[in-house]
Amino acid sequence: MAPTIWIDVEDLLAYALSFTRPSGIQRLAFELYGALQREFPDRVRFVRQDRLRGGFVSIDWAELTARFAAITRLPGASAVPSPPRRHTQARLRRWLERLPPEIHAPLIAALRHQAAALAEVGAALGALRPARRARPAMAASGHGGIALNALARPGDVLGAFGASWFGPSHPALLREARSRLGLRVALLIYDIIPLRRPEWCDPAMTARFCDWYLAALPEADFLFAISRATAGDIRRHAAATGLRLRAEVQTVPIGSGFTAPPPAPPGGRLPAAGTYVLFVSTLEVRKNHVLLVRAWRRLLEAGPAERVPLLVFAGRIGAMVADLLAELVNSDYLGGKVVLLEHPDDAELAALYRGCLFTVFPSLYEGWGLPVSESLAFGKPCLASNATAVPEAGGELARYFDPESLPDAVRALRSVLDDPAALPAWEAEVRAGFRLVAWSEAARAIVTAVSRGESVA
Amino acid sequence: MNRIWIDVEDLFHYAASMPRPSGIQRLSFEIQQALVEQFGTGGAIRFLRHDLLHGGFREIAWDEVVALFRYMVTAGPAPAAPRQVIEPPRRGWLRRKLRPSIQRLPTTVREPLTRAVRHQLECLQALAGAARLQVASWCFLLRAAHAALRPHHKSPSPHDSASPPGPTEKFGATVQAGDTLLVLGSPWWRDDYGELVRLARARHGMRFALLVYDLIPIRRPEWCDRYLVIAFTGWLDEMLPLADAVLTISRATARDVAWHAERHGIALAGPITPITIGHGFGVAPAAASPSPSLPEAGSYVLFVSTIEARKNHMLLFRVWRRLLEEMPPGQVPTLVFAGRIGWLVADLMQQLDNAGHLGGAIVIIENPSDDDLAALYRGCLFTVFPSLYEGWGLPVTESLLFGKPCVVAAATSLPEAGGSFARYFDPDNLHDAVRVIRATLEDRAGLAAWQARIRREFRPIPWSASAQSVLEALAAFHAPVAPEP
Repeated sequence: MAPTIWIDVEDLLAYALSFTRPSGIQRLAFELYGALQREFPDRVRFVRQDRLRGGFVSIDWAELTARFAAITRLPGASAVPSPPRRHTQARLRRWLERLPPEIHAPLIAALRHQAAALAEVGAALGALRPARRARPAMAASGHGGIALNALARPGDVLGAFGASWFGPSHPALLREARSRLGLRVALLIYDIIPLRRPEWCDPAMTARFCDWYLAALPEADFLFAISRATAGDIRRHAAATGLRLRAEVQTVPIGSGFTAPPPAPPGGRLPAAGTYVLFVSTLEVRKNHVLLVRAWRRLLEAGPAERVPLLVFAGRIGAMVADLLAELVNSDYLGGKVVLLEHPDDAELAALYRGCLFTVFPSLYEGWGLPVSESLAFGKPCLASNATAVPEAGGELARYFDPESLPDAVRALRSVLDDPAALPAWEAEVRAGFRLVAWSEAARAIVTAVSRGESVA
Repeated sequence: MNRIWIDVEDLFHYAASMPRPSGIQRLSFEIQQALVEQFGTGGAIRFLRHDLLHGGFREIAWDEVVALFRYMVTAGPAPAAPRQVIEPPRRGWLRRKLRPSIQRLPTTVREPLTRAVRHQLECLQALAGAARLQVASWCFLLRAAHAALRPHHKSPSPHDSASPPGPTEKFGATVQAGDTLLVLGSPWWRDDYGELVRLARARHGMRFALLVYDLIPIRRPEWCDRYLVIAFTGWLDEMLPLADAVLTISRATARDVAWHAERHGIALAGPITPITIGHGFGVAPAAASPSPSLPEAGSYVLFVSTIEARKNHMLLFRVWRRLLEEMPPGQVPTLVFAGRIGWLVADLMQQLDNAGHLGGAIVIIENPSDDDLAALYRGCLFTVFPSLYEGWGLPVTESLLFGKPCVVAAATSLPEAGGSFARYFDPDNLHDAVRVIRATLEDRAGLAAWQARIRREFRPIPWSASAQSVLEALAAFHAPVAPEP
């Protein structure tokens, strides 16, 4: 009988508590889980961590969907949380995000640590009363699931395919699953930016990620990466530091579509179609918004302002961009040429993609480059950074520039803007050439690799 | 004989809020001093303050200007110690006391408890951090309010003395038609300056000339305070049509003035003339030995500048990240940022902290004293100046004066400041910066030869040459200035 793949979704549930909309990793992971669930309904189960008793307990796909929908406002969201609570959450989220980032970040960190501290105290108390552990697993589970040690068989696979470093003791859980339950561990790595470029990451997150990475990776019997660039980073890091890996890194194809947004009419704050170039991304220093501001400054200096399209930044305001925002205010948003659309919802994003001239993505470091494939999926050309994994996401349909060189970025922008015939031709090329990578391909790659590992073992 | 009346009110205005002179104050002082040395005081070169009581100008003695300037140069804030990596806190007393009892607990209890304590501490630390930031912003507001209420809270300085016996009436009596009102500084805070100039022209038949340093508030408002942008733009747009001569500190600024005038349809009354900029500043500070904590001579590359977005420290941070990744270990020297921590760099400082200052490869020396600066220049391998926009580039000529090679941004006025003695890169292109800096680091013999050439061939320009070029720029309408008999 083929082994079951138990997928740890704790990070997705924990993310819902942080009152922020899902980032790239959560969205990718959720799509992957959905595909695994659809393609291999008999092989895939979901588990979450049991903070009180340690280990994992099962969670239904339906419950997971409902919880995730609550934070993304996907169709079906209305069924789950009661309206007043959702309202309070949204207000709390908005309030938190309106705080200056330097206050917001420590407050969120404080909340997270407080939650973790309480959970750990709970765990300690639980351990002090061993008698309670004798209760049936079903009844004991605070989350209503069944303990994994009652369900899993040796040889099964425990998969951590999300942002698992959020939990404090994840590597220990993996180790325990391997040694006590005889499970094999599969990890999916998105990027190792905290190791490579800690300057762009929250220091607490960097510490957590690095601790997790160094302890968890040696536990992996299967190691997947979302891009060849990330796989290369993992190999180079291991070679340079002597980190011993059990498994060869395999690259998993990344799906290009997302669950369709609701057909809600977008609000009135969007610029008119055909008047703007679009950059969809959280505003953070790694994404290199500053390069585009400088490029637009050059475009405006060179030619008449009315010939220069708007530049739309659509995304949440992240860390370490307060100075960039101040520069935008000082320059009056380059005389109104830069438009900042905070917190676009899915309907607004879809409308923005449809109405843009083309998209830009100047990021300095990526594990993949979701907005690039998303742009192509919308039939929109993308002028993208040629750094790290971005060319894997953009393939031959996107065009590239060097994100560390303003002259090169300006050259690339001019080549599109100065030739009115070029853009329609490129857009036609994108529409004709784009091949949607289904998430089932990613699911199949993982299950195939795991099964092959099985036959070898 | 026609006189040149130099408006120095801006120095007094500046001194009321800033402890130390900036480049503008230093440069205009040097030119004024050179003019005084050549022509004496009380003759063709005169100095003016604004008469706030009666409007218009009043004459002020050169000695008062000198006294204030010297006070500003010597009485700066105490330099701060170099920023160092914060060491982790020592294991405390409580921990030592508790350890034995904690260790008696079973592992299953001890481990989560330890983690709980750690999380609780991090939680409290995060809360304290948030609170500290909040309090810091309140304190800032309080300090700002305090400073606004009591502008002269420093120790007594020359400009605090109760209204000096200025020869107020003398200006009106002395000034003649054809005299020149010259602005060498930055009186942008007066939004009615145009009125002053028009009155001087109408009442006294004066000519008007001004020195423009840069058009950064117009060309790159993103790096300037919003108030400054509005004040400066309004001021310049009003001054340009009034000026019989526009002097600039570089050809780049001259180009910018012409560009701006053309783009906004401003009719210029006179020519735009770049003047010669002298090298080095004459007023020596009170002697004090350099701090002992400076990095070892020969172990570092130096970047002297206020740390602010326009100066492009970010680029060097990324260059050093690349060098550390690409060059063999131990081959990359320390990078020293020496200067005041300015604005729009909080995110850069955060990135530096996040990256542990690249494992200590980047060192910040805040508010270095003039002695520290001199020692830093003397001990560096070479200097770098990646600024994105300048009106001139004082740190470049300063580096050359110290006989040190300088790797400089090929932007705006900087090639004028560095001439053939500096090497250049594109400050908007990381690869170009890496290429030039790496080549300099890897060719130590070439670096030594370059340094030798600077010491052999670099001829400092005296400030008298600047003064001379100012007079030449005015010669179109101003009769030759002669020394007092």
